[in-house]
Amino acid sequence: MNEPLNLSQFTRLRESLTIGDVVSVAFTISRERWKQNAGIALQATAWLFVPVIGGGVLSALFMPLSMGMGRSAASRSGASGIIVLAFVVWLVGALYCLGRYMANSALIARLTFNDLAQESEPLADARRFTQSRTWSYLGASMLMGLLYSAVFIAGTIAFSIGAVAIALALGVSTSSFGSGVVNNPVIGFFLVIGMLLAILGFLVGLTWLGSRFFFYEVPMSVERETGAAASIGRTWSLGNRSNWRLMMITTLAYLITLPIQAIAQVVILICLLIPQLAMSQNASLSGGLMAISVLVNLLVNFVVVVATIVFWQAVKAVVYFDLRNQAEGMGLELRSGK
Amino acid sequence: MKFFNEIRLRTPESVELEFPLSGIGSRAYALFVDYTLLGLAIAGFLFLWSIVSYQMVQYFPSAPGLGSWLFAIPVLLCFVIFVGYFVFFETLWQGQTPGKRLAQIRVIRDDGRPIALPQATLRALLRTFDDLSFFVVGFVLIVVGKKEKRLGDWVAGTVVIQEQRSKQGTIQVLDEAKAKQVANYLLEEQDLSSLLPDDFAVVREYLRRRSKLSNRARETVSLRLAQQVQQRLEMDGLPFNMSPNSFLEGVYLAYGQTR
Repeated sequence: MNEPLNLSQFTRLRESLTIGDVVSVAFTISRERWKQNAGIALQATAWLFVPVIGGGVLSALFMPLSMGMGRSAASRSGASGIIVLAFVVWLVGALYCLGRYMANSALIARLTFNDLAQESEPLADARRFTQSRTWSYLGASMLMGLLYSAVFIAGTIAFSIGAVAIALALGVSTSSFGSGVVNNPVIGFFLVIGMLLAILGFLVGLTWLGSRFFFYEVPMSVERETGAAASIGRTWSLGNRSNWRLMMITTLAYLITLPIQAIAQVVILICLLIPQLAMSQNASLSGGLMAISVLVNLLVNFVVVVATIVFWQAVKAVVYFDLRNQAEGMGLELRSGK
Repeated sequence: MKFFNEIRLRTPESVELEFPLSGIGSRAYALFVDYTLLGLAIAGFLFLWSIVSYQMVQYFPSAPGLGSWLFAIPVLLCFVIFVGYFVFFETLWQGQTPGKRLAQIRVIRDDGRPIALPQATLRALLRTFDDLSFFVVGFVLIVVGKKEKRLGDWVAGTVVIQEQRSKQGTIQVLDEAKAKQVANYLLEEQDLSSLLPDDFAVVREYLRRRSKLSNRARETVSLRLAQQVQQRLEMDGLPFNMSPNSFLEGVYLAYGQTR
């Protein structure tokens, strides 16, 4: 499946990927493996629709039940019991579907890593591996959710304390509003500057944190022995000396998607304008054309979502591959055979 | 799969040269840095201009058409700054801007020569289409073409290549006495010719990069490499006590002496 790389490609890949190279390689792989990876991303997104449809079906089934609840207390509690049970079943099912979405996305990262490390693994095997970890992906994402909330709460508290401390230092009290310090233009100027700096700091901090953890599910998608929590830990320690690199890579990867978004918006705009024009000529066409334009709109958005998943998963895999080369010396071994 | 595009150029002396192309990521990186700097420069200029024009209006309240001039001049000057930034740096630094320096890429002519004022100017002027179209034109052209050329590159006859990078980090032998002892033993007792140049290159690569590795990684990699080299040399065991790092340092020194 993987033909060997020539020496210059191999050296550049293994020894010295620049920040730009990471993004370029991810882009190239996304394009070369588009058919395969877009198919997987399509399956991933399909899993997200399952709970929505399931929820709709369930509520359609139970709506009459809750409307026509029996008059006796016994039948009422019976009916609500069934509804609660159905909700629990739906919730578990929805979480499973979310896990399958993540397992499919992770599959793209695993395949990309295989391409980079010149390892060939049949698609079915790779799929079996990530699929067997469906619940672990869910667990990992919940851990990440907890982690982000903890940081957010701590940040909010720190910010509030800082703001109060500054206010006290300036001698602002509730009685001084509308007079004195608050109306002093110099202090006002510095307060505005301070606010801007705080916002900037917040954005940088957010990018930093997000980029330090953004490939948290890749280690557990590649390494057999790494579980959900260990995967997050490894992500953190792998990036220890690459703060700036990771921040720039995520920013660049995001910027690269912007022209694609722009193209999609233009296509959607054209599809909206054509029916408008046609309608002004011939009103009887309007219904069908409107339907077509809505359909195209949906389709284009869907393609953008799929492309985004494919590209981001590739970026994650390349970052992980590169960090393992840089920080762990992966690939520093004598090549087998003489 | 080819991860990077390459280009083969023919110089005026009919010499064929191969260059690695920069890739869309490095182009975007350079652009991001350059536009950040340009944005700051233009913001600074507009700030100064607003002060100047405020004073102008104060001093000449009845000058005819002053408002239009105060609006038209900065628009023109912003364009001059925008084009001038790229022309100035790409001419002065032979195809590089601050962003391109950071991204380690460079603009050269189709025949491999460094670019000069005309090429830099054409490239900068055509940014009007490549970049101001929300980067769509430039992006699509770079991504679609094998030579990664945007409109400005096609018109000016230029390509953007990856700079040749010098390898970072020198090799430091940590325990010189021990390493020399190992090297002497290897030279006297072992046949180093079964160690291929490629194998030696990996050992050297490890020694150069080991300071950047985490402690645990350094242990595992050095042990793995030392064992592999022992296997290559068909050594049964070590003649005296040494760490994997000393062994590899010894291999490095010994191999250097065989040539």
